[in-house]
Amino acid sequence: MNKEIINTLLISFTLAILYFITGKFSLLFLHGCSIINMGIFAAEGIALGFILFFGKKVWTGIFIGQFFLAYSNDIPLLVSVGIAVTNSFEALLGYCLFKKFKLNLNLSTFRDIFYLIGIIIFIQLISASISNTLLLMSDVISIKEYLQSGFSWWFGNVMGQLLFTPFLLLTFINYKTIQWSEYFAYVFLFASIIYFLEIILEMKNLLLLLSISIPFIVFVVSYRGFAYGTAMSIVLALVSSYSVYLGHGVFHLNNKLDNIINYNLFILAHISMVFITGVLFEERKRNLLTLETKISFETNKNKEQQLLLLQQSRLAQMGELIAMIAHQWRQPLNNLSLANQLLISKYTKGKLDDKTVMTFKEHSQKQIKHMSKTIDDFRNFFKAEKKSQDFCVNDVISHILDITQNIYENHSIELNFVKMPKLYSHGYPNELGQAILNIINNAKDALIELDKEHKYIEIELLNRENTIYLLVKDNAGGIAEDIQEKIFDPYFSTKKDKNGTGLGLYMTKMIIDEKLHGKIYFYNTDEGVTFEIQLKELNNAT
Amino acid sequence: MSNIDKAIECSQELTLLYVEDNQDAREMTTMILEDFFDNLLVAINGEDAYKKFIQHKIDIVITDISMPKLNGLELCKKIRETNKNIPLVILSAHNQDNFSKDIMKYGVNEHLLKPIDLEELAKLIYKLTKHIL
Repeated sequence: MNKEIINTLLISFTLAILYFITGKFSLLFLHGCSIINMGIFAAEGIALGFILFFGKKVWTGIFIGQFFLAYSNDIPLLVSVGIAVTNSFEALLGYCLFKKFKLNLNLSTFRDIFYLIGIIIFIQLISASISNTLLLMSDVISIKEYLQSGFSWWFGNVMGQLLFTPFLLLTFINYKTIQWSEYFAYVFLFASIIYFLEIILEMKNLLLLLSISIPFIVFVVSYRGFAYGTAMSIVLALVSSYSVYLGHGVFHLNNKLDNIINYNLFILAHISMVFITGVLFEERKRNLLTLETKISFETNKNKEQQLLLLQQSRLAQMGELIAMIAHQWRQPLNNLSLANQLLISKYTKGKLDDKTVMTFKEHSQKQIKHMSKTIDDFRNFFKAEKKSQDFCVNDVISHILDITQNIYENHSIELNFVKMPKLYSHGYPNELGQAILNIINNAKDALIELDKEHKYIEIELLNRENTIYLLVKDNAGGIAEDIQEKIFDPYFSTKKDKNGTGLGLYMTKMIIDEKLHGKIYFYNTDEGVTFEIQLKELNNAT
Repeated sequence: MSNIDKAIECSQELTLLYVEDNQDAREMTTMILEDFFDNLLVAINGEDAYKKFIQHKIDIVITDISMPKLNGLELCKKIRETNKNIPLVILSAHNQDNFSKDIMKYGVNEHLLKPIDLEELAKLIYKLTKHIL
């Protein structure tokens, strides 16, 4: 609680000092003219910036700063108090309107900027009217000077706020993200250019000066942001005020007021450019951010979907595994049952002799071993591999043939492997095995549906220029043209009614592409389809 | 009299052709069937079975369904083309509703599921052979 009060006091005190100093500077710049003039009154901009950012509690800073400023300029005590009250009230009114319209402190939309400009124009209208009426009533100005003085007051304060309020707000808000060295480099470079053109070169052509300064400021704002532009406007105002003071270059006119009007409009042109470009920059940044959020959202969604797919395909694979084991176990289970019945049959007939018992024993043992081996084979085949390794492609194929052969025999499908000298590759052999298994299972399903004499699946292995070509051919009629583009899509299945998950070929492609860094193609032949898997051949296999 | 005894009585005189490609299954089933049939012919695949069918006078055929070369259904179809009355029994591991309808197209009389139940086999043999005798 105490800390908060101390903070508020510190901020208010800083504000009072800043208000007083900048106010003095503005007046000094006008060469001892009275307080009523068209000079850019920075103190007002600082006051509004502070109150908008730190809240209405810092209003005392404005009051104190303004009071001493007025009083030190020979304005009567009561009038000075009146002006200080008016200016504090004006800032508070600005604060309330800013809140009422729910404007953003980072001024990132055109609405924020236009409303802020509107608020500034409005509050300064009130402030200038009251303050000048006070001055009139205390005979500091005459009735003749009233309108001119009121306008000058209003214009100078509006300019001060347009120049300093956005600068302070954007600096306060962005001070953590601004790269200060780069920020100062740009500001210093801009100040140097303007100094060179106005003071050293004494450039007299305003349009030429504008055609150099505006593109520079627009470039920096659109490249680095709104905050840079506001700072550059301020150094421009500072350097140019020195130029006005010297009566140099574009501000060489004999009439001092004309110079000041030119100066103000010159600064106004830059402020407008900075506002427009700044908001455009912020909008672009916001759009990019929205786009990035959208992209990351979609990417995450995609990742989740991939994970789901992976889980589903694992389940599908497990189903496949169970179906295959069930199939492999049918024969030995039947044989065990037969052995059992043989024993009982012979026993009930009183014909149970040594030969029968031996036959029973041998056959039972053999069947049990066979079943046990089937489980081991499948478990090894479906075991997830954590590390990639060098492997013999021929062995992978032989292994698949071993564990599936009798399924194919049962369906009268000839499953051939055209033997080749051993070829080696690097990756995940079990995954490759599953990829091949998915392809031949599809071929098998298609062949079962067909009523034809000779059904075959042939696996061929070739190598050319360090590439292994693994071809799986069948004579099941090929893939219809209208679905060719979709066969690798997840959930695309022509066997939905037969529990097809649509994940087999999708997983196959994933495995070949990502786990083995190979390629997979397919093409229809006269009789069926050929899947071609390309793998990198390993030359120095051990 | 039990089904098995009835079957034995009925079938003693008949010639059975039993077809199975799996050696273990064939050996054990043969040992069981020997008690039913005096004249038992065993074939190791469809082609072998068809040859034996042509060469001998067969009264009943029991065949496995899935075999290399000539499968059980094709064998039945071929046999049925030459003999309209012979009882044909298919052994299979399939148990699908549509399956029974399918096999009837091939001229198959009965369908027995693996693993074979001896009691059921005996019943079937009795049913199929009692009117032949």
